[in-house]
Amino acid sequence: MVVVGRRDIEVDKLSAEQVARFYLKQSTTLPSGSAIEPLDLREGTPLYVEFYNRVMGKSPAQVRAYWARQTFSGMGIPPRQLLSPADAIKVVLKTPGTIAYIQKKDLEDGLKVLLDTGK
Amino acid sequence: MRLLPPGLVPTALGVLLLSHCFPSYGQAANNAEEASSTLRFSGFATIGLVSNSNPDAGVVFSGAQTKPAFKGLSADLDSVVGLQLDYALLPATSLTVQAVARAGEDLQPSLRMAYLEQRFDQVSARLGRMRTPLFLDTYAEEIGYANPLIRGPIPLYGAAPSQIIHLDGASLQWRTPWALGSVLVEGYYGNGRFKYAWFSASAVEQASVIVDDITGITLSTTLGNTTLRLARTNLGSYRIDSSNNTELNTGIAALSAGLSRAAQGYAGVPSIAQNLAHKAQVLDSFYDALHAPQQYTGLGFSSSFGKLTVMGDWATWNLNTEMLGKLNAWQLTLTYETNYGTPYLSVSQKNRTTPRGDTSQVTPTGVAGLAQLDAGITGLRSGLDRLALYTDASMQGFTLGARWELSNNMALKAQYDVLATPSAELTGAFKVRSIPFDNHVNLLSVALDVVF
Repeated sequence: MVVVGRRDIEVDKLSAEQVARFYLKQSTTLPSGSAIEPLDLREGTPLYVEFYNRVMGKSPAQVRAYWARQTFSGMGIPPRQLLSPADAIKVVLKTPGTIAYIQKKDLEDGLKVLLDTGK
Repeated sequence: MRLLPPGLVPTALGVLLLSHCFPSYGQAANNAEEASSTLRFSGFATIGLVSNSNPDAGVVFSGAQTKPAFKGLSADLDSVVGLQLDYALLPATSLTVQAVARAGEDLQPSLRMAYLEQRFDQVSARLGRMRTPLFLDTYAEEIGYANPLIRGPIPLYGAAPSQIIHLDGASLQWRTPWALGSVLVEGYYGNGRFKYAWFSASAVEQASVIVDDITGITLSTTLGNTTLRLARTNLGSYRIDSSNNTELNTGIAALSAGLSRAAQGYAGVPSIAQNLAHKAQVLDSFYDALHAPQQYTGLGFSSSFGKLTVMGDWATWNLNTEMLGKLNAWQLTLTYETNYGTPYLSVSQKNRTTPRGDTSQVTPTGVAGLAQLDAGITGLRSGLDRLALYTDASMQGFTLGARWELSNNMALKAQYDVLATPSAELTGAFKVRSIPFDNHVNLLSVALDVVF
């Protein structure tokens, strides 16, 4: 699995901790000041579960509880959800500043790998 | 004969309907590419049942609850439904509206949030009605699914002034990366209007709490698996508008005026006149005995060590009147994830740190010819003594329970609570009809939490 952005994104690498902060919306900008929008997949899909387990160290239930707290207390809403990795790639290629997690085999021209989880 | 607790059936039907219509949390919209869109409908609900062992001590979720859980089964303590609409007007501008209905408040809908938000890079500004972390974790307390316990520890959350869970005003949030984590600073200003159920031997009075000039700042930081929260809130003006309070103030004013007139009548006897004037001053000091600016400071943390999570809070309230005094409170909660569920335990305590309201100087004049005034003063003293006992929020609690994830948006919890106040005269967060009372409560609870 890899975390990707558009080729012109103003960063070359992200750590797992940085990715986690973007996906929990605890951080919304790169050190350069550019805004980052994380793109998510539908809850419960195998890639979703793997991403949150491996990169975030959280179970789907923990993620839901986190966003329930954030959403219903007015502190923030979850990342935009896409129906499939292919849709996520389309949005990343089209929208500057967006990042998504996909399988390594789905990499396309125009994408930059920001984090490689190694599997 | 009633087979089911009141409030349970409508709440349960509503929750089941909504969780069926929206089985996946937060995904109301759907199109070819996105599972979420500019209009987002979501909600939360809890169907809760409690069994209280005690006929004297009613347990409430907040001061606003009109139907405490007394002995027997009740769905009124924890059952709640909340619906929320988030609408992105522009990429950085959104509108959020949330309405909540609690079984313990006759399922009367109440607007918890209705605000417009404008986001800039690391800053966002909100205007309208909003939940803010004014006190401990109260801004997220009624969202059962988001919390490990069925409800926040009652010694900390069950009594005034914790019923202040939203304000009408403005807030500014600043979020920035820091070290290995992030920092969120929020400042806010506004006013609040709340209901408070005032219990007496024969009736429940819906009093209004009027809080103006609420100012506060909170700081929360996430470092790895640890989150720290620091909050400081000032309530510029706090008033309870109730017939009990009006009656007390009217009585104090009438007796004080009577003493002042009597002092003038005894102008020729300076020692008696001075004594009567002094007693009038003593009575005046109890006028508006519950009204004053209030300050709150809280520090909380949550830290995960693998499957173990430790959470704690420490807080202090300065309520700035002799009757309400100062309070300290703390709670510590442990949860441990297993393959069979998440057991948890929690201990909590709230202590008054200043002496209770001193009424020892409210004494009859002993002057012949002022018997009627003396009877009034004796009656007032009795009322003030009772008020001093009712306003002492000291209490302690112990909680043992477990949580199970039933599906991708549903959790079941079972919980046992032991709650007690320091003596049979002190009511703590309990709602009682008379004192002394049996001040030990055993509470068994089950709750089904849903988000949709």
